[in-house]
Amino acid sequence: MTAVLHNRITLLRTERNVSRKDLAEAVGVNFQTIGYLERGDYSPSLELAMKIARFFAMPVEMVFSFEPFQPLTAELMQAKAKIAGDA
Amino acid sequence: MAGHSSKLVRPRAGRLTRRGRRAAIIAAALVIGGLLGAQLFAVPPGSLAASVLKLATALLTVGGFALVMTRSLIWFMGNAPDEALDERELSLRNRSYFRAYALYAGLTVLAGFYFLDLAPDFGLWMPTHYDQWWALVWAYLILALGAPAAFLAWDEGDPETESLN
Repeated sequence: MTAVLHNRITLLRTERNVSRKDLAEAVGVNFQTIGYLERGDYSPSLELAMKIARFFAMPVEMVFSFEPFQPLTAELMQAKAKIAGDA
Repeated sequence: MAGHSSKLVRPRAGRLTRRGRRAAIIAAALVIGGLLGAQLFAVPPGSLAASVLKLATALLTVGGFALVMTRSLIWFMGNAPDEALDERELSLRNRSYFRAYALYAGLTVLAGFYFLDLAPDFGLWMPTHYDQWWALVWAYLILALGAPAAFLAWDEGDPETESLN
């Protein structure tokens, strides 16, 4: 059985005002495929996952995960708390 | 990947949803299957009705294939060179071709078993007239040419919008 691969493509794309077509052209797929990725109906190859992460200038684990993602705000709060704790 | 270097013209995605495409496939299979079935079992071979049915089958099939082959993104996905498709489309196409091959091979084995062993041994129905053989061969050709695209159309999702959301 194939594991479900969660992703933040929709969030990152809308946050940066990027259309499916723009992202598709940038990573070399057809825009239909971006919709499949966003819904989790298709799991990308490592190459495509890396290209998408590179497009958003983020580590691949920030874009794709086997575990469901927390909201980015929650992760931000945790990071801030960690930094404050380290200081 | 993705065909940006390809000179092939990629048709735009059709308006049919997956459900609509599946309904169209079922309708086409029922119509063509009904016509071929009537030629095999209902209409006297060699009659005028059989000729009319043959003509209707040929026109519908050739017309249907011509329509799909010239305008359908699904047909493009089924027949374009690898470099014109992205990884998801290639994966979908591979799966569709595998299913079509499995169906075709399975039916060939069953037909061979029936016509070579079962029918002669047990006195079961066999085609006796040219019109009946014509219907069987036509069914075989339609299946060979149409099954991969039909499986592809069955599995491909709804058309996406190009918009931001």
